[in-house]
Amino acid sequence: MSTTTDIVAKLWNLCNILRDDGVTYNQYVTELTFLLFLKMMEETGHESRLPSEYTWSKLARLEGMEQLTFYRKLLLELGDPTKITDPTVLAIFANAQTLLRKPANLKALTKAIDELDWFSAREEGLGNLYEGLLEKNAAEKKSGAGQYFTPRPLIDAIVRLMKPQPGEVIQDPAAGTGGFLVASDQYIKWNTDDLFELGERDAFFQRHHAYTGAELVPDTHRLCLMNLMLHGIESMVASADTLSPDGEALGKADLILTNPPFGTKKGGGRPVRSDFSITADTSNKQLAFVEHIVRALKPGGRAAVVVPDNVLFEDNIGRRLRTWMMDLCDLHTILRLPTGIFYAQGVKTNVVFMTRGTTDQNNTEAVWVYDMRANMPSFGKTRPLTTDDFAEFEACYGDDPYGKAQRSDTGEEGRFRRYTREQISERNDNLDITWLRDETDEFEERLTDPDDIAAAILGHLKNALEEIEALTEELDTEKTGTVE
Amino acid sequence: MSAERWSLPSTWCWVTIGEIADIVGGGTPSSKDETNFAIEGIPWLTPADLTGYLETYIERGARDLSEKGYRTSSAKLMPAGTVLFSSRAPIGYCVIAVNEISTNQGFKNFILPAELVPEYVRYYLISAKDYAESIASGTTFKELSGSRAATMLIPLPPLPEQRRIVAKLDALMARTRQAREALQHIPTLIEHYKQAILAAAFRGELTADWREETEYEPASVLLERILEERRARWEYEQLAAYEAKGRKPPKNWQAKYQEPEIPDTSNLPDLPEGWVWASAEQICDFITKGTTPKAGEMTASTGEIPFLKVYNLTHTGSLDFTVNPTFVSKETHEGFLARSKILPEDVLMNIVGPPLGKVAIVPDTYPEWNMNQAIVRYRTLPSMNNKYLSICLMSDSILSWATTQAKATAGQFNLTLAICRELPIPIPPINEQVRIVQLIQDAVQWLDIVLEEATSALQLLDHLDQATLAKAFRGELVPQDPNDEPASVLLERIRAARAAESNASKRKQRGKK
Repeated sequence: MSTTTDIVAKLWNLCNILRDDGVTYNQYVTELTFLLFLKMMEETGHESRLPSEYTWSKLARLEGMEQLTFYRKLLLELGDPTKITDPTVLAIFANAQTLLRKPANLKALTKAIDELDWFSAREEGLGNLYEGLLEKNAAEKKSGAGQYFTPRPLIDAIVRLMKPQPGEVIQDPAAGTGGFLVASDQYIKWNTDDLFELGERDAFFQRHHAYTGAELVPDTHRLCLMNLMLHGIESMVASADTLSPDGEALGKADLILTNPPFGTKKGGGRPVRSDFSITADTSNKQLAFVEHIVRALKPGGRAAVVVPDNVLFEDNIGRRLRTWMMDLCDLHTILRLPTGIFYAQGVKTNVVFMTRGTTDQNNTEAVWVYDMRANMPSFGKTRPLTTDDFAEFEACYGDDPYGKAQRSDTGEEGRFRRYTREQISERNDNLDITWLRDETDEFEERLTDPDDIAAAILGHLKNALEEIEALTEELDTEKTGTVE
Repeated sequence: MSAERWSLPSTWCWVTIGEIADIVGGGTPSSKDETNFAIEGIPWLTPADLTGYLETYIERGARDLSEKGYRTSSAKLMPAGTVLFSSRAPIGYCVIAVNEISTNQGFKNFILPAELVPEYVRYYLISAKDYAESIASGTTFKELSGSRAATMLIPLPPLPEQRRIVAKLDALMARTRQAREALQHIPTLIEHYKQAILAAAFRGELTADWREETEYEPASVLLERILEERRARWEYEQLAAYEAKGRKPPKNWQAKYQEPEIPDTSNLPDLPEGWVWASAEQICDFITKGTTPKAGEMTASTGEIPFLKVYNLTHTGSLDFTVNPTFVSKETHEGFLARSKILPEDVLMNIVGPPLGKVAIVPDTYPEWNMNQAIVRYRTLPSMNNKYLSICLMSDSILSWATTQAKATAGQFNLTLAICRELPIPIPPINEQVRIVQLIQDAVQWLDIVLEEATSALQLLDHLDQATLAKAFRGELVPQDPNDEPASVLLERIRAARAAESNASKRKQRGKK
């Protein structure tokens, strides 16, 4: 683990070279991705996928303006569909550009990349290395990349509970940098001796057809493809908007794991899918993603989705969606996540676990809620989320990915409670359920890191703002656009 | 009814509360007799029970009445669903009984017919607090009598519309409540942040990057220079004093100089590279506090020499002389108060608290000032940055040394001059001092803005609630449904029912509770 951390740290420090050239954190990882891709093609013996004139050694050998010019040409050519047929290469270099202007900087980068300890990195898995980079980028608050990155301990906990199986089609309609897909794949490989236990045909399926998904933002899509490729996944995640008609083409899945983008929506526009009935009239993208997920699940298919609080309590369309969801699916478990675990500030989120029924009515009998939010340590830079933090929840959830393991209600003082469908109807199908006394104030008292305190301040401001925006929308029942 | 407060939709009408509800008061048994009250008896409510109470419903107050207490008072048991409205001290609290309940005489309670939704009436009464006060009698202490309460006008919508209004208001007010709760966390967090960032500053964390990229003169060298300045100053003043008396200084007069105390760093945290610990008296001229002259020698509002007290110091390091400005004469200043003269750029701090940490850098509004005994004066030597010292004094992490040393009697802290002089101050290289001051000032500026915004937002939320309620009772919050039975029909039914009931009770008149 330490070699990967070392390399990640060294690569991250290279960022200082690029900052000189006016490259921001956000652009940095993309810039690095192009170079790393070429280097990794060499390290993994895949250079046959590239035109022979554009290999890493050809680039690294050059110097000065000649190198920079060559590099610019390389980026253009590798993204040119008339010249390249390998879809992964094409997708990674689509519209690729470099922001470097000083030849000395490019040389420093290629030199530094060459000097890294690639042998050890290969041992550890280049994929882990790349994910380390992505995580570092996400943690840099200025980059805003945090919104594309779900913390690894959370992903791992969800994957452990949902138990992806070989042969299943696994979809992430908001793939970000590919965390869920990669984690699912690693889980399956771990349980099948790296796919060795599967026959030829099944192993081929795993590599080429098991994973589907979409990512809207081109730069993030690039990082996702790189991430998948480095983990030996050849499936393609589409560069598309799930909430557009392209989303219908994603097809059906056995398992959906996803963290759709949250935060207040800017700009107007509604998702325009002909197959959407409930959320056709809302600009709330989180609700729309939930409708997509329910529709994309095969009968008996299961899903785990990260959603913000408003999906659980919003009235009107939100309520209709939840009622519909609880009819078509067995919405068996909700995990209320603590605040401060995402790199985006102050969001309140939950994980909803559900199974699509074989019929369309009354599939939910009861909902189990685990409150991991009230009275939890304040997560942040000084107290990051770890796998252990989920241990209690995983024990309560039980062994059955469909949520049907034997479970017990821990009572009013405990964190895990069961609510019948009738009880939920009485609450008007509001799933924002709490019962523990909230002692937030005491926890905020104990924060010491200024950044954590600032995060708490911003979190409260953001909450207040969200309430007021929602209220403004409710006041103006005639208005249909988004609120700025 | 032709009286109205504003115009209503056609399916609504104005009524007076007396027309549609029974108005019931309350009472209190003698409090001298403990047996009038019980832990679990007859639920009973006073306006004090509702201070800070945000819920809609209530079961009981802090004290119940016993059977005896109930019988011997004019408290009256009312059914669940009664709307309880405080009619004095203050007017305007409103809750709904979830069970049978009685109240003291500070309430006018409304027992409603089936055609009125209690939650609707409650929302109206909450929005009509000013209106209720305008009807009440009295000037300083207003009280709403039963007969006046009966004249209060209330807009009556069709029954289903009452329910729709309640549902909508519930949803909207829940949101403002959440928003308010969120905002109320902010002031404490802001204080917290300020101390956290000060602490980080004095651990060198804010300037760690800067230190790596800059050449600096270590603070130990700076301190040497400061100590020389201190000595030189003392010698200068000594010579001046001798000259003023027309005498020559004696031999070895310089040996009289008292070196300031070096701080004991054994228990102090390690400092970053290039920093050094110094005691406050190492980096300042003679540190002293003031004293209070006789009352006759102080004047208010105008005078020759401004005289400072703790209320002129702030938590932000600026001096506020607008509060109760006091002055002393030049004579007192040069005589009785000569030792505690204050010049612009001096750093002042309070030594009596809590709260400690009130600091001010003296501006040049006046050329000379003076102070009382609750304030200590730090006059930094030329090579020391006084703004840096002032932010040290605002930081809990630095003052904690002083508070652990100080005597606390009856909850009050008193810092002695010895403590003020020996106070260890972490000294960075001079440029780093400047940088830290800048960073802290920027942070404090941001914090002030956030606090201001949060406070404005809180006020706006209150306005928002008022506006929402006003909209509701004009019939503009939810749409009217032409199929609803109009309020005029409801009203007829209510009147008929009350007339029948009043005839029936006249026949059965018994005059007992």
